[in-house]
Amino acid sequence: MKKQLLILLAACLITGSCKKFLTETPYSLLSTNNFYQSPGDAEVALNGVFATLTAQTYYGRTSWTVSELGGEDLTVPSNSSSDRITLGNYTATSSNGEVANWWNNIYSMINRANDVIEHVPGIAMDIPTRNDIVGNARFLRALGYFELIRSFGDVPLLLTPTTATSPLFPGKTAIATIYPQIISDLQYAEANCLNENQIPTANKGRVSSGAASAILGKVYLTRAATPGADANDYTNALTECNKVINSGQYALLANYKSIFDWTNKFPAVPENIFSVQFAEPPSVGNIIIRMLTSAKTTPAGSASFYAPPAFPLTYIAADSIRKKFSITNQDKSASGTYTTDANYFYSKFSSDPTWTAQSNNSEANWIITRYADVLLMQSEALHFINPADPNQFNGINAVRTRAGLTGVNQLNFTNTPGPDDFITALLNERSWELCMEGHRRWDLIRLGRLQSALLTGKGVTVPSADPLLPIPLAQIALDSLLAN
Amino acid sequence: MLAFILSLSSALRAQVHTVAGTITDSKTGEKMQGVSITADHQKHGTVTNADGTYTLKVSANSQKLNFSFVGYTTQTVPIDSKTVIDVTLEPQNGTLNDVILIGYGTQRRKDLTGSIASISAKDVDETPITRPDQMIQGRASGVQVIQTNSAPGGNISIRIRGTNSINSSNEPLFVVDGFPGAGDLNTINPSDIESIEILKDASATAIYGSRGANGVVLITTKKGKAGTQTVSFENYYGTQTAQHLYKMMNATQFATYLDSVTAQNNRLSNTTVAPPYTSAQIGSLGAGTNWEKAVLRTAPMENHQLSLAGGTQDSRYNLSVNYFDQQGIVINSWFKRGTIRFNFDKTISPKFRMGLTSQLAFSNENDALVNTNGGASGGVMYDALRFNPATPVKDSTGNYTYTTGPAPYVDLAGNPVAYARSTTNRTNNYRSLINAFLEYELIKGLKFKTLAGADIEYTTYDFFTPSYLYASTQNTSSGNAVKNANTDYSWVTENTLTFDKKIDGNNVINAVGGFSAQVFQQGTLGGSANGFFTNDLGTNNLSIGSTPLVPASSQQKNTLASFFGRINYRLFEKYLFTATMRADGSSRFGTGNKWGYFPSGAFAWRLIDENFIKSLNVFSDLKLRTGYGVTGNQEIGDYQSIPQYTTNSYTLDNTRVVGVSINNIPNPKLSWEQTASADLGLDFGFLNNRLTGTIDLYSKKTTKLLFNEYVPTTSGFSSELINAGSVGNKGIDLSLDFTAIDHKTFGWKIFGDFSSNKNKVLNLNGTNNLLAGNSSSSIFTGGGQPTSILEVGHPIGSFYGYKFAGIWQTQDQITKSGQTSPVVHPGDPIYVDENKDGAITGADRVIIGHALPKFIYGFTNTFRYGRFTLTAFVQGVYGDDILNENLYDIQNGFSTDNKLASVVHSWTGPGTSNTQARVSSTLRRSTGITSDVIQDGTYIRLKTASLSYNIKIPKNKALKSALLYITGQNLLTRTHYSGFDPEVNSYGNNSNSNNLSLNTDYGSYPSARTYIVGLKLGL
Repeated sequence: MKKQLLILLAACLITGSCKKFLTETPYSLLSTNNFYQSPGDAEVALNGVFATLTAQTYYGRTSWTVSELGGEDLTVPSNSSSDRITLGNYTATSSNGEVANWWNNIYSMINRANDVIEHVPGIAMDIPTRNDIVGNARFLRALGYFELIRSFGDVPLLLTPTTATSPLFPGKTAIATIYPQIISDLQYAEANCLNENQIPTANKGRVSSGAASAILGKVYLTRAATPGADANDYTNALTECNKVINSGQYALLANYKSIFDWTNKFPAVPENIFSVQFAEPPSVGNIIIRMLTSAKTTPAGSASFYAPPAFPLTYIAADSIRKKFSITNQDKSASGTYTTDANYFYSKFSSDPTWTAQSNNSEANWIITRYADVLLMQSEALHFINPADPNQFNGINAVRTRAGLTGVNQLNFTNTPGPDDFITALLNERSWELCMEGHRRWDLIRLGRLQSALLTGKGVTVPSADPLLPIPLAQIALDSLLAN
Repeated sequence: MLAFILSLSSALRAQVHTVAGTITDSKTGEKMQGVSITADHQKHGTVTNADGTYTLKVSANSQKLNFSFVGYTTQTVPIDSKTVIDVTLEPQNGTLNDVILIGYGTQRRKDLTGSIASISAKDVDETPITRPDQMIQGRASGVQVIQTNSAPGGNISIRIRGTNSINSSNEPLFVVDGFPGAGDLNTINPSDIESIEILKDASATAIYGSRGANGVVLITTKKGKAGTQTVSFENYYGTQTAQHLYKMMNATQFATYLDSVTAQNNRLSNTTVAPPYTSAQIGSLGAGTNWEKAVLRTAPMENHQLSLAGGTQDSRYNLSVNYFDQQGIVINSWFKRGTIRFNFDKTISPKFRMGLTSQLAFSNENDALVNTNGGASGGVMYDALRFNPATPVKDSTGNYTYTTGPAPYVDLAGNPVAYARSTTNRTNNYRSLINAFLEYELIKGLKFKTLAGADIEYTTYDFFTPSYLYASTQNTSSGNAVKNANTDYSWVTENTLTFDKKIDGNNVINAVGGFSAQVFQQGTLGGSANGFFTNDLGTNNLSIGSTPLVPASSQQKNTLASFFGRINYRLFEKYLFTATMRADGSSRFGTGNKWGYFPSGAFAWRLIDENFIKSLNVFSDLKLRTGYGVTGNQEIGDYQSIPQYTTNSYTLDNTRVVGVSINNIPNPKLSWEQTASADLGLDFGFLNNRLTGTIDLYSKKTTKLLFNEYVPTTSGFSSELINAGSVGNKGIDLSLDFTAIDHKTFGWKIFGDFSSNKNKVLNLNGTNNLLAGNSSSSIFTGGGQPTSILEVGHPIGSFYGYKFAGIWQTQDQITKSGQTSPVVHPGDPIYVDENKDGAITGADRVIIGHALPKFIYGFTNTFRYGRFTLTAFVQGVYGDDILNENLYDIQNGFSTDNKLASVVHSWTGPGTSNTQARVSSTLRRSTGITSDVIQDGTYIRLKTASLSYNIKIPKNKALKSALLYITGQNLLTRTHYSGFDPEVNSYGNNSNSNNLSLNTDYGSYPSARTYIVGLKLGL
């Protein structure tokens, strides 16, 4: 018996059966040994990159807390959290929680995108499909870095996924180096992602080639307005806008409100070019309606954000379609009667029959860019290429026509003679058309009107013309290379 | 039968004569049943009958008879052709010769080298025990038993000699009848327990290697004893009532309070908001609803136990059936448990033994919804405290009220009575725990033992909120049903060789060596749905839900392979040496780090056996023990070292699609936490061991802590799991056992213990401090705040926040102070501006309390008078603090929820109060964790008092014994703590936050005072 025992013991030690016994088998989660093997793995890995976007602390709330509170079209009540108040009045410190959310989630998304970009090319599968998936991931990575450099300036540039041996303290990379990387990613996406009308119905919501063009246009426009501008940035921006406009894949919808009709998110020829997709459970829903809706209306929201009093007054009288749809100061009682609220709340996302009072779940998408944005970008590019080019009014007037601003309300050199007038008109148009869609802070910085707009619109003094957000304190504490 | 025939035939062959006699207890003079009688040179023996008599046929070869009985000195009497041998057995002095279970073996108490506390069922015989851990509380030094949730079937946490780990488990390893890792004590029938041994120091626990660092609890269930059959039947009934309720405002007081809040707000912000209640309304309100009383009740409990035990010298059995039903003091909550146990031992031949221990258990509990969420899902007790007392339980139409009218001045919480009555929150557990062993003596002194065991648990969970409940209507889920099923399965094989050799009178060796393999598997399956057109089917048909939610399942497994050995060497009967070693290979450890080695050594010196001590004539026992060893903690979770791709989801075409993403930074070097500990102990006895005691000093250092190291989030992750940092624990354990009076009709025994542990964070991987601890995200405006700080040089559980320094009395005082932020008004609480920058910011936080106590203690007095026995058990904790989160809602912070009645004495003008802020102040809530919600947690409690009467039964009746008892539990508590119970940890139910969210009370389940009447019958 003793002998048998010793034999058993020895067998365990020698044959390595112990080693097998002690090997972990992850039954209900995937690991490097069994993932990135099949085309299906590539698809779900890409979905995993997209999945980061829907967090409240990313495109659910944080992105527009940063971009819209940083403009003059959104404010918060005085008892709001200091995170929000200080983002609204440009006193945010490096301990601001929303800024940390923004930083952390973008890098989380980038790491997942890097994982896809690193591993999917090794999967044996249909090559155009594989390139489309990698293109989607490179688009998202570019979008992430674009948001980062607009927000923080120089940031670490990571292009491979984090593993056990990755260096965790990479240090900052200059914007001038990051822009080419963003452009190259978007060019790859433009070349390899499907056209909007080729995206299979089941994949609607993925990145199209046109989406890459639109964001690439925005990237060129943005760099063009910085000291690091390339001489061809405006021309390149125009080229990208024209690619979208001439593709026939997108158009302005006849009715402004149809853009926000969440029951028909994918019309045959859409206006929305790229949106973060939300839906009711079991999908992840969007908190935005609750945040933006009055607490006294039916169904009630949390009244966490609203328009400053000056904003409704900026609309010209003829611009009633967009104003009426976008904002409201009418609170609806349970019995259907209305009372006037002290504040104007954003109602443009609220056409969601599935949303209920105080619910964090709505199926409102978050629109990153849409055709009207591209038309206005085209006008902007044309203007900066040649301020005397009358074609610069084409885009802006197309947007105005859809809003019911026809005839005398169309813009031309007579009513908009100088470059300053054009910038004013363009910024007004972007505000009326795209308010609360996450553009404002970046529009004002790009077009050089941040300080004046904030002073006029909210009485806020902004310390510089192109302020950056502070890199989160907790991150600097971990890596002094990140110091602001 | 065969054995009997064989023995009969052999008896016939030899020359046989019969010996008979009676065995008597020397102390009580009573006849003794079950005394074992064996003769040398023959196989069969016998045991005494109920009247203490025996007859035994002895062969001519036999020369001596052996009389033995547990707890009595064995006697050997020469036969010398006598036919009658009467014997008087002496009870053993003290317990030194008791055999104590140690890991993979036994030892006489006098030979122990490690620090081991032993609790016998006899110690708690006259008090009904509802959970096994109740046997431990206050009866073993160095062990803190904390009821984290007072609900029936609620959680218990056990800390042996302090808190070693920050992020891993601090619970000891439970070994039930040799099965390691049988941790779920809720489904072990406490009446089946024979003894509990608690291994405290490394020399005792190192034999359990990577699972020994938090101590080991060995539970042994009752076995049958050779002798005649005994049948015992026990019933008890009890009644439980809630105690120490908060005294809340009644309807009139609350309406008046709400009006005063509005008046103050109007005055401060120059508004003219109408008060919610007119004076006429207030006049008509009266007392209104006492919501605490509305959700609480006097609840019954009962227990029934039937056991049959007995056997022969060769075969012994114990069969017991138990049913336990405890209704909760919160309406619609209960815990029920049924168990069947069958233990069987068989001596197949003098060399060959086998044994079986088995239990089947079923438990069914419906838990009151108590949680730490706060806000709209705060649960029954939380809502009972804050719901508007002016609202009746049901409206005039007989339906439950849901809002708190006349206007929603209280957060729309939902009627707690409706919530408690209408929701289902039920857990069913089916468990089978079976162990079997074979033992064979290979050569004299060398035994091989193999043990195989399986622990199989199937747990179902049903949660249902009907469509008419407020919670359902608000999120328009129209009813929500969840059904989960978990399958937990573990098997073990333990194989040991034990060698006992008495080389000569001076050299005795006991050695054990072995190997074991164990597998733990957990599987889960869950489904849920929303939208129920009928509430009649509850969770039993999820397919009728209009919105099916995503189903989930999981499967995981971890394995442990081990080699271990121990040598005990006894020199000159007074120098005792122990060396142990265990090698554990765990699947949880990183690929480069699979095996851990855990050595220990100990030495004990029986000073009492030295002439220079004996000659002092002071001691009746004296032993010095010392040991050192290294143990581990492998509770680091499964799959932590490998790259994990986990699932998430996105939406394409308005439809949920599954995503998979990398979820961690893998760490192939991940390993166990390591605790090195040293122990110095002294066992002593005086007055012929009428006074015995043990004192131990220990020092432990835990290193290689499982540590979430923060990494720059540019990596895509916020932290990486590594082994780093260290925590130290130092302390003293003391226990004393004193037989004050031991007279035939009157006796008085005292047992007491005392433990003090000092915990200190020694290293946090280079950082000086980390914020830790959970609080409800609904209290604070920016979400849940950390409640405590882990700081090098300070203990775990150091509450961290703002120091309260009274109430701002005048605007002048505020102006003079120079504080500008936040803006405060007279009547607001003063929080100390530690850095004097004029603003109260995070930088002003300091350590404001300690969750770990300075010391804990317990003492039991047992008085015996004739047939009466009175036992009183007092237990206490000294020097800890409790964070009472409820005070934000019910004292000040929120100005809308119902309040403590004492809030009527709030500040109303200069000099009116320096403790209670003005009613409209919300400053406490917007500030964070403050010292005015930290309260002294010291308490002393009469935990149990029991009076029993041993009814005199005439001889020759079928009934042999009858014991009647009455017991009270939680009878008296002296404490300054204002909550339901100072023994609380609302966050303790979540094992992950258990370590760092200590002594925090939020919406907890109240503790009950219990009275029990019971009857034990022996047949």
